[in-house]
Amino acid sequence: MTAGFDQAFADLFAERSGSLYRYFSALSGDPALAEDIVQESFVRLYRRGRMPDDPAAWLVSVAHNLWRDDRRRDVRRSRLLSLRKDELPTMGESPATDATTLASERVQTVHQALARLPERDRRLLLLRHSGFAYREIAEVLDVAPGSIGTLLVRASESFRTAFYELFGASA
Amino acid sequence: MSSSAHPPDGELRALVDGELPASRALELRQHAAQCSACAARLREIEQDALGTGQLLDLLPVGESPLELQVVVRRARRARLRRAGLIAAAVSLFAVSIAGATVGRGLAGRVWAMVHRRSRIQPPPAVVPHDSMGIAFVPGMEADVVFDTKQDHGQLRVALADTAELVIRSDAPVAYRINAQGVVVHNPGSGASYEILIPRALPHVRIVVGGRVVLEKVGPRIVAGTDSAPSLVLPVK
Repeated sequence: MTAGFDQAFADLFAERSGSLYRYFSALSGDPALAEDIVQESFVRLYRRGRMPDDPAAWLVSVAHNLWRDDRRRDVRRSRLLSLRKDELPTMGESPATDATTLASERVQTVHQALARLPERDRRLLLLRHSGFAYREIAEVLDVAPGSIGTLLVRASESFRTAFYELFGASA
Repeated sequence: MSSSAHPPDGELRALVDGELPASRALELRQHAAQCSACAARLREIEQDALGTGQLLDLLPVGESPLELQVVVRRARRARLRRAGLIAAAVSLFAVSIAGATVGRGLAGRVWAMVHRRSRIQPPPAVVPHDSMGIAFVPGMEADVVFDTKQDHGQLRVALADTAELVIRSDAPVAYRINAQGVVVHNPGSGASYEILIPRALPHVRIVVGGRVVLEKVGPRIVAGTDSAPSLVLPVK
């Protein structure tokens, strides 16, 4: 392991760990899982000992693979949870204020609107929102860099349409 | 494209996102200043991007808790462990040759030396049948597999700040360590067990008769039995 690699790794970590974490946290809806996945991705990059051509895209790809593996395991966990759902301890219930309810409804609707999009559009919007450049997004999604703008316009419109349909329906 | 041609939506979005080369961005802005249709479309796309960003900002993602030192420490530990395993494999190869020529006594001493240096586990072994427990240092994940369900007995599971996964029983049972963890050969047994799981171990499953009764993933524990949600589970 060279000092040059260590420095490059530290710079990359400073530059990218936050955006990767935000991306996977939003995508999975599970901040603890996002932390595990992003940490493991950086660990694998460090163990690799040399930088890939496009480190940010490499990290996202590795993290996606880890997330996919976790989702496979999650199917099994879901089965276990469904068995126990009626027995899980409940938190102390307190009456929610209207503002809290509204905010939580909006968050839930954002999740639902994202879920309505094709997976590629969902990832596209969240990658961009997390600060990834067009070139990096294109690499991750395996599309031409010149098409990212067009895809973003369409995905944004679909997302907002879905959000207002759902939110209007629930309001 | 000439500066007078209407730019496509994708380019306008790239302009909004600051993803165009400066010269092209200037061309588009000059065009939009003279073309009311493109100026209006640019505003729409700006509003759409802004609105989407505001909605996505609602997602509760928080600040990254990741720390560089933690990541590097973990990565280095993993590298050391791998280096230890490679060294052990090379040494074992030498041992097998030496063992064939000068006897197992030397091989045993070399194994012990390698074991001390690399801190790896000895090869899988069946503990004698009258064992009342077992302790071993697992890898990143471990399965504790009970061959069969029991008519009697309990599993008492606890997290502990130790490196070893420990199983104790109140009656003799045979244990076998393998690459996945440990198998408890319990047919016909009515023993109760206490299992201490290292708190730092990322993934542990306890399986009884082919059914997962408890799983620890990171700090989360999911129990999958029909009993109350405690960490005392029937072995059935």
